[in-house]
Amino acid sequence: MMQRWVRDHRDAWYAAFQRDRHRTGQTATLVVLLGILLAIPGWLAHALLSIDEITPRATESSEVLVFLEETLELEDRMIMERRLGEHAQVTELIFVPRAQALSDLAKNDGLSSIRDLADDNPLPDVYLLRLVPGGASEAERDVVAQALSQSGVLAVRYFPSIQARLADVIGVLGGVVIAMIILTAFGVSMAVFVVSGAEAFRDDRRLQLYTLLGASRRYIRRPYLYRATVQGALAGVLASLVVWGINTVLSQAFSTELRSLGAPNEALMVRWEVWIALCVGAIGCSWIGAERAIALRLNRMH
Amino acid sequence: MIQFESVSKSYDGTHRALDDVSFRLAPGEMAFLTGHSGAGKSTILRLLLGLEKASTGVVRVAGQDLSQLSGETLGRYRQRVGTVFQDPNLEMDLTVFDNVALPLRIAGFAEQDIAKRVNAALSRVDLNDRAMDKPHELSSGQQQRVGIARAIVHRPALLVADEPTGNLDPELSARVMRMFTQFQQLGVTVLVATHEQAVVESLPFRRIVIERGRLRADGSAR
Repeated sequence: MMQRWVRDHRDAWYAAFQRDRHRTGQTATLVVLLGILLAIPGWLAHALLSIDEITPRATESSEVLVFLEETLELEDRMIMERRLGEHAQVTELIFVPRAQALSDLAKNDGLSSIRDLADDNPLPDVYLLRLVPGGASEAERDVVAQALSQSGVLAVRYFPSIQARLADVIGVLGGVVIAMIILTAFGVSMAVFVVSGAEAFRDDRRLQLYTLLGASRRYIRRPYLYRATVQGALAGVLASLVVWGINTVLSQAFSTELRSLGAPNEALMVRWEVWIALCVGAIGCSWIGAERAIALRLNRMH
Repeated sequence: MIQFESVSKSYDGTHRALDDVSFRLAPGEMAFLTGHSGAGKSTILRLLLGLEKASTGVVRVAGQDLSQLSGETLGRYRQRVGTVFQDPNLEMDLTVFDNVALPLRIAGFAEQDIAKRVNAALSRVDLNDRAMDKPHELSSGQQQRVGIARAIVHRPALLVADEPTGNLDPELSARVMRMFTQFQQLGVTVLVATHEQAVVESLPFRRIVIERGRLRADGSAR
């Protein structure tokens, strides 16, 4: 039994490579095409994981400026201050009176002539809110929403930290990566499906012969599936090399920017998860494409 | 051995390839299935090989209703039938030995058994000395003999041939038919579909004549 199993699989591998020998150009073209196709979501996934790695190292806080209406009574302002200060995301709440704002503007921005407006100060009173470093961008937006809902608020300005902005990018990129993975998996499966379908069409007589000799579908499909497995593995390795190549070039081109973000070296290396996902994904999609093509051909024959 | 009972086969519900065909073939009997091209001979063979199912009627081989077989059981049935085609349909990448061994490998025979049976089958068709050659190194007559060796290597109880002499000259045709006669003498049931009258008339076997999907005549040689 075991001997038969070994022989059947050995024969299938032999048949797979024998057939590949005659179709080297076709195989090479398909592998390159699939490799490049797979590199797109592969690199996006790597970028996503790298940003995720960099994000927690940023220590800057987001800030929210709440501009108050001139007519706001002290009592109402106190209530607002208490409410805003109670928000879990707020670590520091600073009241900047309009006179101080004018003075700071004159001092810090070199606009000394603006002091002349002291009797007719156009600036409003402001609350400066400093938020928890590394807080989720959704939670930070909740602070902004709460500030806007207060009566007596003229306007609100939100200055997200690099961390919060990266978190937004991760959210968007995550969606793009998932969409690209689905599209690429479909594309790879379809490419292998079409090529295997054409191959099965050419091998029609062989498929008929094996059927007439009493071979099971599993037996007939095996060489095609092994061939697809090898093609998928090669495409996965090629895709990994493309991702590595792009990553190396971009890391060098943006080395200064990455260092300013405190990017650790390991964040810039292609992770083993990406390598494995690319190879396993390529083999899986290739296998499914070939399996469907041969099954369809066998169904049409009978 | 073979039993066709009121078998009809229609495609797309309109075109009738076979119309109420009935005949029986006893174990160890040899018969010719004759008729013009498109008469329905190939349909009978396809039904006999389980490649198609009868629209109405029953096809039985060794008492087994073929319409009841599917998947693995159909595969096992085909492993017990020998098939010879007009074109031997050999695997060009494999040696003559491996081509003949194909049905045995599919059926899961042990390697020692395979070697013995393949050598015996190649001896029967006088190709022992070409076992390690590739098919493209052989003449068309030799390729046809490899096809016959492949059909008998697993010692089938039923041998079905579809225009086996179509590509051969008269001398080779006669040789191939002599082989079939020998197999019949060994107890194999042989059904040969052919439209070559010269081949049919050269041998004293039963003739089943099909015309436009109907059985026109069924009887012994004149």
